[in-house]
Parts: sequence; C-alpha cells; structure tokens
Amino acid sequence: MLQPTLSEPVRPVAAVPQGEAMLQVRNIQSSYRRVPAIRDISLTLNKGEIVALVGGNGNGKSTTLRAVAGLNALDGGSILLKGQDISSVPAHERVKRGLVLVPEGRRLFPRLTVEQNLMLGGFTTSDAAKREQTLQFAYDTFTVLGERRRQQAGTLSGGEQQMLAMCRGLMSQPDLLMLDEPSWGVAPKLVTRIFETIQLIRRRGITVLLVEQNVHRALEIADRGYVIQTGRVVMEGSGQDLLGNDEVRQAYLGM
Amino acid sequence: MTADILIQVLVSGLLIGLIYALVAVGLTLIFGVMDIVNFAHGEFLMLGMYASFWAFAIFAIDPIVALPLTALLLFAVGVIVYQTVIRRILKAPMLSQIFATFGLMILLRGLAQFFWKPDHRLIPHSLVSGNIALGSVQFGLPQFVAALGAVGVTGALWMFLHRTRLGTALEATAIDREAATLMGIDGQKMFALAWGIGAACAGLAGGLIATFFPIFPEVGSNFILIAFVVVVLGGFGSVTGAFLAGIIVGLIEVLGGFLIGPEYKTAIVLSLLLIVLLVRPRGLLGKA
Ligand SMILES: Nc1ncnc2c1ncn2[C@@H]1O[C@H](COP(=O)(O)OP(=O)(O)O)[C@@H](O)[C@H]1O
Ligand SMILES: [Mg+2]
Repeated sequence: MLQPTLSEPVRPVAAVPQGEAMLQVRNIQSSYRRVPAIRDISLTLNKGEIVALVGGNGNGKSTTLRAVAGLNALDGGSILLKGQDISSVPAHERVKRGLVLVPEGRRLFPRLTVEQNLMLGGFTTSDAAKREQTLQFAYDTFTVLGERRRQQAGTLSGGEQQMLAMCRGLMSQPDLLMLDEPSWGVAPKLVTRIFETIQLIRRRGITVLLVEQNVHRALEIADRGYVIQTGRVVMEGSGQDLLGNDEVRQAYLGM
Repeated sequence: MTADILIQVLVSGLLIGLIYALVAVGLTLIFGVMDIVNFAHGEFLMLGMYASFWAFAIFAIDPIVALPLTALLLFAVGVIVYQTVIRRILKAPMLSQIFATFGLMILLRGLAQFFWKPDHRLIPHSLVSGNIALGSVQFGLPQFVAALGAVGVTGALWMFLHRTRLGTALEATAIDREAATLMGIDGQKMFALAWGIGAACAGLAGGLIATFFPIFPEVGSNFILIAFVVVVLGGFGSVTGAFLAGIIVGLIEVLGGFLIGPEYKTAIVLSLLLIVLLVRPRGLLGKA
C-alpha cells in the first residue's frame, strides 16, 4: 500500500512560484491525413496543478496530449513549456526539457523486464545516482514492481502495468507529466490506487495534465478542468465548478 | 571410421555455420529495428574482405590484426549508407525500399569491379594458417579462428543489446519506435546505430574469412542468400535466433552436401527455407 511519503511532500508545493505557467497551449490545431482532429485548443497549466481534460470518446483528448508531446504535428497554434516555445522541438527533445507523456494504452515494452522498462524511462538522465534514486522511489511506492523487477513487463496485470507506466514516466524526473486514461484496463479495486498515485505525483512538485474516462474522479482531484468537444475547448473551470455544472453532469456523469 | 567422418562433417558445418550466423545477425538487427531488408548486406561483407586485403597488400597488416579497423570502417559505411540512402526511404512503400537496397548492392559491386578489378584475390600467408588435427578430425586453423571470432562478436552484440543502456534503447526502438521516442530516445540515431552495427558485423565476417576465402566483387552473393535463410529460420529480428539458425544451416548444408552430394548444397538449404516458411513462418524465435 502507499508509503508514508504520501503525506510528506518531497518538494513542497509552496516552494514553486505560484501562478507561473508550466504549460501554455495556444489555439493548436492538428489533423490525421488532412482530417482535423483538434481545431482550436488552448490550455494553461500553472506549476504544481492537476488539470483534467474531459470529453466524450473521439473528441480529441489524446490528440491534444500527443500534439503537446510532439508525436503529432501542429497545423497551427503554439506550445510553450516554462515560457519557451517548443512547437518545433522534436518529441524526444521535449522529454529532456521535462515534458513526459504516459500514452494511451501504456505502451510498455512487453518483452523487456520491469526494471529495463523503468531504466528506459530514465534514458535522458545521465546521472546514475539520480536514476537509482527514482527507481528506489518506484519500488518503495509499488512493492510489487520491486518484487517483479526481473519479470517481463507483458506478464503484469493491467493495474500493475499502469503503475509501471506511470513510474516509467517519472524516471526522468519530469516537470510536467501527462497521463492519458491511467485507469483504463485497471481492475476497479486498483483504480483508487491510481488516483492516489496521481496526487502523490503532484506532491512531488510535478504538474499533471490528466485525461480520464472516469470524469467524476478526475474532476475530484483536479484543481481545474477543461471540457473538449469535437476538437475545441467548450468549457473550463475549477474541478468543483465543473462537477457541479448541470451540463457537465448530464453529458459526462450521467446524472 | 564412419563416426569419424560424421564428426568431421559436423565440425566443418559448425565452423561455417558460425560465420553464417555472424553475417545474419547484422541483417536481422537492421530488420528488427526498422523493418527494412538490406539486400546490400553481402556487399558489406565484400567491403570488409577488401579492407582486409588492402590492409595486407599495402600496409602488410594481417587480416586478424586489422579486424578492429575493419569493424570501424564498416560501421562508418553503415552509418553513411543510412544517412544518405535509407533515411530518405523510411516512409516509402516497401517496393521502393527493396529497390533502394537492391540498387545499393549493384552500385557497391560495380564500384568494386571498377576500382579493384573482377579478379579473385587471396591473402597468401596470414598469421593463421595450416591445419589442426584432433584425433582423426582435421580442420583449418583459419576456419577455426574465424568461427571463434564469430562467436565472440555475436556474444558481444548480445551483451550490448541486453546489458547496456544504449543497447536496451536500440531494443526498445525495435519493439515500439513511438514509445521509445517518449522515453527521450532519438529514433534517427538508433536507426543509424543499427546500420553501423549491422554493417560492422558483416564487415567483421568478411575480415574473418579473408584469411581463407577468395576475395572478389560478387563474393557477397555466396553469403546473402544463406543469410536470408538464416534470418527466416531464426525469426525475423531475433539476434539469438539468427545465431542458432546459422549453426543449424551450416550443419544442414555440410551434412546434406556430404550425404546427397556437394552440388546439391544450395538446393538443400533453399528447401529448408521452403519448409520453414510452410511449417513455422515466424521462425525459431521470431515474434508471432
Ligand atoms: N491514428 C489516427 N488516425 C486517424 N484518425 C485518428 C487517429 N487517432 C484519432 N483519430 C481521430 O481523431 C479524432 C480525435 O481522436 P482522439 O484524440 O483519440 O480522441 P479521444 O482521445 O478524445 O477519444 C477522432 O475523430 C478519431 O477518430
Ligand atoms: Mg483517447
């Protein structure tokens, strides 16, 4: 289960300058073979925030995260990380700059071991001591990963795989972690664990951009949220506001 | 008496099989990382042989001593080929990719004929020469050293892929290029690395056999067909598979040649290819 670290922030959030933007996404557009998938998305994430991106299937949430990560090219707009325009920075360079995506479907390397997967997550970290430290954090937080470190990643259960994917994303000690449906394929009793982990990640001072099917729980832990529809932002507000909003409740929470 | 002959045949098969394995691991590595079949792989071997030949002819450096240089040179050739040719056809249709590496094969052969003449050349007295006799079994020292070198290089490659950060990054790129990118791994660099290593393996195979095999511009054709059979039998993209399959193909080739007749050697190896494709198309250790 979760270690005591949960209640002790590793990097106190107060130490992070408040209100400074970690990520600014300005009117980005992106398409698949000329078919637009996102038409006009603007987001701002302040340092230390958890921001949720919600909306029904096929509305462009994953495409937004992929565009920010650099996997999908932009047709327009710009992306600023810590104030710097990274719109034309290649995807692998963005990792070095502190921007990491844990993609939809996890995309682990199934025939490599748990430990090899984690070490690959720390590929950009040249300091071996730092890598070791994050590895230890992962094993302390999720003892099952430590127990199975020599096992092939593909043999883990869905929930374990998701935890491995999140830890792999943390290995480069990112400033901004983007999670695409982290509770997908996870057994219900482990879903709570996933959401606890997201909060734990934030307590380590990492800003989180979260895409979730589980809209209720996502908005519960999020400081703010954006609602996306057919590739545009149609609503934004604090997590509580959106949870209380009738439209959101009807469309995504079925209440 | 017949047992002795059988052992003799098996030893010969093993020795040549290990060379086939070394040629094939480079081919399978390139394919595994980027799904491109390198038809010019035999020409990398040819270049490795000529590198040894000229090192010997001009500087009197023995092929065995020249091996590190041969490896470096062919690594550079592999990277240059990637940067100038392959990089441009990564997203091209498969037919274009086939023609590109096939064209490269013809180009390299043509250049070798033009600059170095079509003659068969031999390196007369290498450091390693003569025969070893173990009881009644005899084999050439050059063949033995070449096989030993092939084991060493393949083993080193395996260690690199499984025990180093860079090697694991190459494996990761082979498994899922996009996911590797999300780890901060530069796919372009990994592709160039795969070509460098692949070419170096073929070049080392060339350097190792240069002590006993004639050197000529088309020499690659003697090996490339067999290398394809080895890659298919081992499972596309599997280095361990290619190693095992190389030994198997060497044994079958020599044993078949002995039992049925040496003129049927190639036919026997190609029948093996047909059988593998029919019975187990993903090979010994290939991904399903
Ligand atoms: N690889 C792809 N090729 C073509 N179209 C795609 C691809 N991925 C997503 N799309 C399309 O882009 C739109 C947005 O998809 P996506 O970003 O995956 O939405 P979400 O994550 O919100 O479910 C959808 O219309 C989807 O069909
Ligand atoms: Mg999605």
